[in-house]
Amino acid sequence: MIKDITLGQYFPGNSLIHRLDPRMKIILLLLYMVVLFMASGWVAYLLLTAVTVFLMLLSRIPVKLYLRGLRPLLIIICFTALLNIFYTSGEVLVQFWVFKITKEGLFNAAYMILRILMLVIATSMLTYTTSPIVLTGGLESLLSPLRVLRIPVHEFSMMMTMALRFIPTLLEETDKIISAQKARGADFESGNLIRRVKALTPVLIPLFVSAFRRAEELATAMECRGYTGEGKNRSRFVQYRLCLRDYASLLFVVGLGAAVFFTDFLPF
Amino acid sequence: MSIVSVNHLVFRYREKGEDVLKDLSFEVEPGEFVAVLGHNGSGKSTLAKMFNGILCPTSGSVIVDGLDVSSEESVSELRKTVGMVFQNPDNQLVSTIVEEDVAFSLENQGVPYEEMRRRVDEAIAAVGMSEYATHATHKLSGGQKQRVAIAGVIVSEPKLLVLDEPTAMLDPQGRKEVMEIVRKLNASGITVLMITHYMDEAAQADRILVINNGEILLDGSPHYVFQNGGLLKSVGLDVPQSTELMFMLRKEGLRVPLSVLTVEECFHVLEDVLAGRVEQDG
Amino acid sequence: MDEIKPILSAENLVHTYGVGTPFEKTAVDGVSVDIFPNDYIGVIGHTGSGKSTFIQHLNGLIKPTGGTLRFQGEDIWQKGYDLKSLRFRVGMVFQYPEHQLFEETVEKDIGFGPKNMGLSAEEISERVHAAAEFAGIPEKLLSKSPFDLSGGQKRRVAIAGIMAMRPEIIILDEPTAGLDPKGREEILSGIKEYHEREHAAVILVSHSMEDIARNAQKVMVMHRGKLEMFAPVRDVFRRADRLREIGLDVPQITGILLRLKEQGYDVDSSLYSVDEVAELILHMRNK
Repeated sequence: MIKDITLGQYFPGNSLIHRLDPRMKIILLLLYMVVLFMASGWVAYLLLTAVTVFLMLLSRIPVKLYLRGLRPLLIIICFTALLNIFYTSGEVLVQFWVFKITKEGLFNAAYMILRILMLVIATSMLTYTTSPIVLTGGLESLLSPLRVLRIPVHEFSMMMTMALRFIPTLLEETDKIISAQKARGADFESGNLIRRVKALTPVLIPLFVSAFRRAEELATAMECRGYTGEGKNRSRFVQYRLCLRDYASLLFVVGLGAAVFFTDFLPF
Repeated sequence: MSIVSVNHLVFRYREKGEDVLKDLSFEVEPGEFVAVLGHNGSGKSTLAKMFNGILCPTSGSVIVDGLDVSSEESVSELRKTVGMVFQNPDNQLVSTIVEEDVAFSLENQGVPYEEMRRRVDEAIAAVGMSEYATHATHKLSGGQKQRVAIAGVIVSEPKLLVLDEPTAMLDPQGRKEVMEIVRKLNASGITVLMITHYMDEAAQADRILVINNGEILLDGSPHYVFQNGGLLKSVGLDVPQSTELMFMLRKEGLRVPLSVLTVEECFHVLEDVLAGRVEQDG
Repeated sequence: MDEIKPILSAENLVHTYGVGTPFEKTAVDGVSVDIFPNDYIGVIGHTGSGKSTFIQHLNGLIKPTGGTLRFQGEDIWQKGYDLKSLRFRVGMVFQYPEHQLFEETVEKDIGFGPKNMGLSAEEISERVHAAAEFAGIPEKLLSKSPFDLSGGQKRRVAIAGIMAMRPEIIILDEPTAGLDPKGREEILSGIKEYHEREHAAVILVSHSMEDIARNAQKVMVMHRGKLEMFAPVRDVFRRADRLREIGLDVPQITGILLRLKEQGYDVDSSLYSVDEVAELILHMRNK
């Protein structure tokens, strides 16, 4: 059933990573990406891989889940790896027809795969350990200086919050409408593509009608509760305070960056 | 002084449309629990939207706690004075987490965090949802969602609570839960105006206003209103089975009281009937 | 004499959600029930008792995880069984069915089911008009957009959409939820008329004991996924103590009789209509 889809992929827990401030987590992810792209040489990659595995264990998210997140990227990963293997010049190891496999090519491919893997794992770690609503709040708070530039940060964040709030409701509703139309003999499974798309009309129209009705009622309810649409003069119930663990984690990632940087100067 | 005063209220949605509310006048005293009864399309939901200025009178006036609902300046004050709870609990919850939702109106008022924390906790406790404070809203039962919606409204400490068919979408368990909370809040001093078409719920109010075709048909205590069972039925409303039984006995000439609302009241009357303590005509 | 055969029968039906996950939950737990043509069955049970899951099995919308369901003696989950045409014969009206309306006109919307059955235009039109009559929809509304109707009218259009398929069984999940007394009465009398004129079996899920008492012949009581009782209305309401134990009510009038009985009056507590009770009181008084 549609409502079984995991949403926002949040995996509730109480690990150290779960408890970090969402703003700090977003900053750390960005920093980590920078470090990833700075890395060159096998020592740096070894270090980064070790740290990533360590963080994965620390997050107490089943490894299975991380792997599931990687599945859709499999083709891209293979493709870039192949490109790297065949199109890097250097010391030739194997040669057949027009293809040459070089030592540098193999290393580059391996680095590329690792880089993509770690990038995806780090990003999933953020979404797995942070509930969507907290993530949105963190983003709003981080981006709030942009308000000076008249960028409607609050409005975007409110829209995100609403979307997150209503996704489960609308999915449940979709399930119900599909069942109701099936009971009237609607057929969603057979026929060619055009027929199948057409068969969705009896689901989509009621869904839109319901979404609009909900939106209208929600807007009225929000207005009744004193919402004016403006972000200023509002206070926030969810408070973010940076603790020791947030600063410690920042220090850790900066340290990691420094270490990766200095691997370049190693004699091997 | 009355908390709500409605004077010659007329309302229509479009300028040349039909009058949905026709010359209504009534007062509500502080602390009263008033049920507004009427069939679907009687104008009762339109009336509910008048009290905090979502809709404004076409003519006549609605004054709540000294604030004229038509005036622009009083809007933000009005939103704090009047709490509104709607029919569909799903469509009035803003946040995915219970306590964050309850805090919404305080966030809008810019209430500082410490005070907000205290008031949110109190409001959640008042509706008996403390153990669910950090739960996801979409996983609650209908009755629980509606209780959260009520908490999100009383957190602003309103003087008047307007509920527009708050139990229409709930199961019997949910209806009981919500009615219990409403009665408790009323006992603590909040004036309640509840729109409903459930007779058993209206019977729990101090006073019932029956609206039909945008006009007041009956206004009085539940006992007074249910005595007019014939009139209620003629406008598509119902009476409790106990009242119906009394009507039937009356038809047979027994001089029983007509407004018998509960099982207990009915039992005592029947005891009198069976003991021959009730006179029979003819 | 020929023995009357059940039209629909559930044998030890089980439905467990999320098998093998931490959320595993048995919603329907070994329910066996025979439904005969012409039955009018009320289904009661509080939210989470499994009644909604149970009824969704009856037209093959969900597959049981155990047990069998037979329509006219045939297992509906055997290979090659035509589930689609089963759904035309076992009509299902969901909660708030007005949320499924989508066509431009009321007429087309009611005709959606018959159209899916592959009927001719004349046949569809004939059925739409007949169904509209059952559901109490005036002729002049047929050309209107369903979205312009009042809440109660929309609900009736949605129910007519199922009746137009002329199902031999019609299942309704809380068809009167949220309606005022008049709206409730209109819907219930339409269903009753369909039941009587088309000789169709009706399964009515409702929280309103008064509605069940007034309409149904038999009552299924569901509790924690199990079939707690399945008996004629009188016998079910006679067991008010048990009903209350599992969080259900009895009609107010039954409650009054029970109160009299408690005080030692010799009354038959299985009466459930106000007329009957009035008669009983007068009879007792004159004795």
